[in-house]
Amino acid sequence: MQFIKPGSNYDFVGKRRFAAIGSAIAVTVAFLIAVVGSFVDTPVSPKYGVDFAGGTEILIKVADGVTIEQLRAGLGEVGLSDDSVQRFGGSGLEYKVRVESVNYGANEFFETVESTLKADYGEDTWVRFEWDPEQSIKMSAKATRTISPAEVQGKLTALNPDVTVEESKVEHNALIVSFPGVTDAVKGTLSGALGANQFEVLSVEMVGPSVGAELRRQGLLSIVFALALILVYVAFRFDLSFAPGAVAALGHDVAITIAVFCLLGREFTLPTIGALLTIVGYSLNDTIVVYDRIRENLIRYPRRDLGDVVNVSLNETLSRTVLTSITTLGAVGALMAFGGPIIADFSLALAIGVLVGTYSSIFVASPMILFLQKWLPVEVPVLDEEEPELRAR
Amino acid sequence: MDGNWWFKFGSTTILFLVSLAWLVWTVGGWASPEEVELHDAREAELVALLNSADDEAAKAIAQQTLNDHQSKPVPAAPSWASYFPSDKISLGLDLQGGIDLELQVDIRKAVEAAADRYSGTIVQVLKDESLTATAIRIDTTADIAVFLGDSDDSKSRAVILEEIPLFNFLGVQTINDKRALVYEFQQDFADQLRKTALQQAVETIRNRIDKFGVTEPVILTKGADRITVQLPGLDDPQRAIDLVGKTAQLEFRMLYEEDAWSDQRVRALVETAVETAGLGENYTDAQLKLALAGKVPDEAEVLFKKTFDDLKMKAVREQPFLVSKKVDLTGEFVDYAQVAVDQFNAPYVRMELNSDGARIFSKLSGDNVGKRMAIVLDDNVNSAPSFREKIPGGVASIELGSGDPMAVRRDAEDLVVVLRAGALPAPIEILHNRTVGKTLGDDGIRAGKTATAVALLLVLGFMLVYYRMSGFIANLAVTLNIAFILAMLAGFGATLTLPGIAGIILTIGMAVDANVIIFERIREELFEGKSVRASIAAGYDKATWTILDANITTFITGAVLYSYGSGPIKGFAVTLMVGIITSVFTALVVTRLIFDYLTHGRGIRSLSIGV
Repeated sequence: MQFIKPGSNYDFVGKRRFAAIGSAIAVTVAFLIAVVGSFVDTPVSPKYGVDFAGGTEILIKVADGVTIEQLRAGLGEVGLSDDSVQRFGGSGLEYKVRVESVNYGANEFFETVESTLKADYGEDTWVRFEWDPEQSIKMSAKATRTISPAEVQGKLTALNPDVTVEESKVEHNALIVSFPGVTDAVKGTLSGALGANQFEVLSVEMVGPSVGAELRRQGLLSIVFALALILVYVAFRFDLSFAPGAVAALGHDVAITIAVFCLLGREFTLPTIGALLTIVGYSLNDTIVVYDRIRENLIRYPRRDLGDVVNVSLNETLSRTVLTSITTLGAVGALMAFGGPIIADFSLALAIGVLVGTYSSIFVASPMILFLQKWLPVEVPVLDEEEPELRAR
Repeated sequence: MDGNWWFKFGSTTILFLVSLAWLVWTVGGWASPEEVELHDAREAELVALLNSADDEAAKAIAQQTLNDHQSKPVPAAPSWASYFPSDKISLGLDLQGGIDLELQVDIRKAVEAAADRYSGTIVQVLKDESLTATAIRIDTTADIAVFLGDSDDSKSRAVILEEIPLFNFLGVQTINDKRALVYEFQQDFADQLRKTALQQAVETIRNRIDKFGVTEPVILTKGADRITVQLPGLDDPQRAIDLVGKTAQLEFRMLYEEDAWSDQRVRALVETAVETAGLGENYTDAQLKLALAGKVPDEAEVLFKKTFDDLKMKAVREQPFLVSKKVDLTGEFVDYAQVAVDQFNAPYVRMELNSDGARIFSKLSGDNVGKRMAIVLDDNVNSAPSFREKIPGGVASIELGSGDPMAVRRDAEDLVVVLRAGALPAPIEILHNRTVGKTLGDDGIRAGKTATAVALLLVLGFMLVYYRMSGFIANLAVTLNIAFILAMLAGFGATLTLPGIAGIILTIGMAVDANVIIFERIREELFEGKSVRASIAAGYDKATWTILDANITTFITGAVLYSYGSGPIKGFAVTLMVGIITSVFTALVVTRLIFDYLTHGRGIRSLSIGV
């Protein structure tokens, strides 16, 4: 079987201006979506998963017949908005509950505790109440005398049955009050609204706000770092004039994949960064194969115009480019269809990347060499082993 | 067929067989000897818990836990399996269910606390030289401000420099309208404080978890202030947080009637009990407790000094002590502990107690001169120094012998970690907590298997249709490739995660790429009219560097991903990198072998490559 017959001669190089304009527009739009969207809240602004944004994400599976309205009603009782519940996966029974902060509701709780304790024991009994409003799920209450933790716990159970109170290990006369936590609050309210056997908690992910920002920064850095290493490798193995093309193509792929993700309203998570780096690897693979052929053909046809050489090379490798895209897309397609909801977004990113990567290795990476001719002329490589040598012994 | 071919053929075959051997245990799904050991140990613990249960309610809970445990037996390996390596691919927490925590130890607080203490020390040393001063730590920093009042500036500075050579002098500042000398810790010392704080947190967490009996916990430090804790099989994050968030219990307890119970006698008692009960070499503390029941006095129990074997990754019992059950002092009474050096340059540990602690300690030491006191952290004995004299002032020095100074210093540092574990809990913050339930893990495994099967079917089917016989050869290589990947993962004891499975699937799609490059080359050469043999040779020769270049660059991105990613994503990077190595090998070597056999060995003239 042959999809692309040998001796094909599509004029890729001739169409490079159209491609360049198209790509330039696409990348600009992608950039606007990603960068402007990060500052201004638009419907297509990048959405971050819990690992990047911080907070708590609880995946639950409900029994047949439980509706999203029931879930929302239940979660509403602990003050969670309707937006915090989303369906995920194909079965229609799995939901994602997202809570913005890891200590959701803790502040209000601690404030109530503070006023309760002041009312019960008198203001003068307490030296101070301390907690970090950003992320504490524990507060410390220092008193002027020793107060039994069990007694305080007894008083606080009316506020929340799951609260615990213990003595501080570091301070005298201080008590530590623990907030039961978001997961327990969600479980509790859903048990009440649906019945305890009507849902199952599949997984819980909690991320502190500082980690999210750090991971985002590291994720971006890792992509930049990978691109830099590749630039060096390509410049070293091929020719400096080849390297910008390769990197431009990779940046193009990453930018467009990110933009498509934004447009589809998908969340960026750690696996998405993994997928983006994989796309970098895949797209580069394609580009390198073409570059290799260009280098070979430069030696083979030293007198031909560079544009011709690039076009011939693209045609000669076209069959391989198409075939590999087919097999990879086949594998990624299987992953999308059968891999389950957890890696659905990951496989989607890969699929977008493979398509864009195939395009960019033909229409971005190689034409870029021609475009840069003025500033970075290609040096025709010479294969030294073909030159006989005479040496004195 | 030349010798070279036979050599390559032989090595490939051997490699293949070795790979299969490494997969025997993974495919069999048997529990490795370590897993069996852990399972049995946990069972013994639960039995002991049941036996020691006081009331009906506790008994019922213990029985329930034991039944749960016994209803999940570990699959035993058949006897012939012992001829194969028992390394297995283990499943990541996202596939088997469990809790993955990333903790941050607030090591800044440890330095600030030290600054608080040293402000007192500075005032003290100045007072010893008849200089009056006050000192405080400057808020939100670890710098110390010393207010001198009327005392002489340069003399004070000289005294501080002489007596406490741990500071850098930052200069004179005006703080709260008063003149102050400002000091900061020297870099080395501050680093040491931070390191100790992290170590101490790890120690605390390890103790807790060991006690809790989680089957295969993983506790690692990450960077300067992070700790990663993985608890397979647990699914209640709150319980895990309580587990690692609590402070360790530090206790000071006297040894039980040393005159009657010498070290030799205790050791002999333990050895006899172990032998009589047939416990073998690996037994748990709970098992031993059962074996010793009735053989030790009621007011005492046997506790061990343990060392942590880094190679086996587990605690090894070193010396048994018969320790009184009465707790004389706890960690709350310890203010501070640090490594100090005496006039002979021998390291010792200086421990400071608070005022209540000093009073109790004074009486305890007075009553027990010449006797030994065990320092017990979460039921493990760190050491059992003896009282040389009555210690009245609340400051004790613990000497650790006069052996190899390096070893003594290490022991001293360990002891400080233990003493502070009760005294100074560096605040631990949970940065990241990922809890995956068993159902989701099982779903993931099922989905992974289906997706792999479908991907294989699609890719292999396509190659067969497109390249006919040559496609079949490439398919052999891909199949072999998967065996190699899995064997390498098993051999490294790598962890397979859901993204890791995705990595394997992606590798299936991309692995045929190398063959596609070669086959397209061969087709080109055939098209130009070359012979089958020449086309194959040229195809491989020209494709080799292309394939290497393409894969090296992909490998670079894999490596970047590995260094960036955590948990599941690391698993993906590993399978991707391993897949690249094996697919290059199978595409360049294995398929070549088969083609060479067909053209040279069988002398075929035409090639079925789909043209």
